[in-house]
Amino acid sequence: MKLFKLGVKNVQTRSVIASFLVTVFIVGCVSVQQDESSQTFMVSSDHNSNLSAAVNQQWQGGDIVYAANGYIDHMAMVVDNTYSIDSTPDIIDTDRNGSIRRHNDFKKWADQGDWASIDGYYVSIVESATEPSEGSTNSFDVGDVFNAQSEVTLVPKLYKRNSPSNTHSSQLVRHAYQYLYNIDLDADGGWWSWPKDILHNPNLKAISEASFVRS
Amino acid sequence: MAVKVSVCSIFFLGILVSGCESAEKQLQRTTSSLFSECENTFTVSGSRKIYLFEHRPNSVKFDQLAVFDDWAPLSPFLDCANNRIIVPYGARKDDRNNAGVAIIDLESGDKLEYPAGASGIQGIPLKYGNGLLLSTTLLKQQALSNNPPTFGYLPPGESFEDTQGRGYRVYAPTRFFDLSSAKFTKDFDLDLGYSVIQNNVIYAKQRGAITAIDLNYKTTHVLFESNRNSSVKAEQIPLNHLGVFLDAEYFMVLNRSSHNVSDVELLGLEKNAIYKLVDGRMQKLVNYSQDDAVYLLGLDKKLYIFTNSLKIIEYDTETVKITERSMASLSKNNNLSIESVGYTEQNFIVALASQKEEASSKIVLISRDFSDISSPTSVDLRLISVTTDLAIDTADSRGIQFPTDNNALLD
Repeated sequence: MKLFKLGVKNVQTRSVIASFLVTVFIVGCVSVQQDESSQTFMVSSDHNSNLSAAVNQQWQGGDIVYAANGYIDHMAMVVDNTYSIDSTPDIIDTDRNGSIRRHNDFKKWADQGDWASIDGYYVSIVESATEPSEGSTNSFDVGDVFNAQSEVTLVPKLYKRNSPSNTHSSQLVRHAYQYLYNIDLDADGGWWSWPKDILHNPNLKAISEASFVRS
Repeated sequence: MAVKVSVCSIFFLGILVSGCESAEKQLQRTTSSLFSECENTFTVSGSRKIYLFEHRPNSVKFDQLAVFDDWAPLSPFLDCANNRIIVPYGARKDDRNNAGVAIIDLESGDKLEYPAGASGIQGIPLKYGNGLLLSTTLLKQQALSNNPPTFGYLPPGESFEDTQGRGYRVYAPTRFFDLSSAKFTKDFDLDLGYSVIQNNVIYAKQRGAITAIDLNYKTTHVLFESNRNSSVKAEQIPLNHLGVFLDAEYFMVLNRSSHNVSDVELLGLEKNAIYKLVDGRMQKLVNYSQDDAVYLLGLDKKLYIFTNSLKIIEYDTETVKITERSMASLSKNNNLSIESVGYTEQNFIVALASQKEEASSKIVLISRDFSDISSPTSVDLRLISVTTDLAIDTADSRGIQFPTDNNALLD
């Protein structure tokens, strides 16, 4: 049994929903392209309110963070970095060009993104059976991520040039798991993977928001 | 009837216009006259806003001078001599490539932004010369074979091997923003983390090491290094704590987040003790009664531990006397937690977050002799941090600004 710290979802009060609907009615700015999950995030207004408490819980490297705000979503990984320079876990993601970033402060990363929801996931089959590949340690660090990107992406420049910018973050997660655990997290296969493709993988297990305890 | 409606409309329109005008005058007044004594000013920032305050001389009473909207400020500070606020800012909303430095002119209220490009900005700004050293988010991968670190040292947390066993480095460079030219002028292959500058030496808590980096001679003295070959996580844990540099010496206490794994022991480190880094090891100085430290400050030969139970433990490093105080007036409200602490010559500035979602954050001033405490003042902020002329502080980290070294040279 392992502990974790993520899983943030906002309290959506009726008044907020009502205000939102009135605003939508007045402004008339409803996107017709949002899917069901996006609409859920759309009405959130006071995000990350429980994040402060959440990030102080236990966490584990390699866990996946899915963030969304109704019109865009994003994916990142928690790095199991015992060399951390502050008291919060490091977050690894990519920028819009596919380059790898590291964020020292989980709370600020979450806040700056203005995400309506941030949820934590772990990959159940990694927990049960798979050992990390040769050359990696028992932790999940930024070196693993860089090795994954260079090994799995055979033609990095070609890949970056031809990938939609909103696939970079989830491609990085996919590559890391392919390299370290020989698992393809993309739910429907293919060349590209969007955050929701990984999210829909049946092996992804949500980390309990209520207890932060993995089942 | 139509005439009455018309008259009413004009009346209300008049009130509206006059209200707008007085609001504008208020803004003009606050931004032009502004502060009286620079050393009594402090900024409080967090999500979306920057507040500028000034406390009265020899008093814990304080006044709000101005409020500015800003998306993701990182320890903004008042540049008194030039009547402006310098605002390093992180990524904004979904544009993760948007970060930089903004400068707010207090005379006009105008804000100019100087983007950092793809590098991103994070952490605690470090004043250096006439500029800022800023940590970044964009990682660089560098082969070690032909790229030795400029300052002569590679922290354990930056060193990795590829699948062929070749060593490489991963780090986020530090960028220098020149305030006189308002440009990013140089990148350094240093990933500084929490750091302070004194006598042209950067004392830094880096990844896996605590170091003293001599900027003149480009050398690094390692004060503490985690065991890079150890598979025992506990041996590396001492870097995950509350630490502070005080007169070139490093002190630490453990906090509630010092464990990443709950069943790992702390290798003899006690939760309720103050440690000093001596000869590469953490040496216990003294025990204290609380084990819920959330903030650590070091100034004027003293350490101040702020606890989650709203107590302040003062430790005099010269007399080794320890004094425990309680913020009694705040303790009654157990929904507040300390997020950040700054200080002026006369007061501590304590930023408190509320555990209740609907409640706002609070600012409280405590006189440095602990004789007086102000009433809490509400601010509309989350992730609150305090910056004063003496201290740049953010949540979970402490940065002390030493007097500016005019002879500082970075090349």
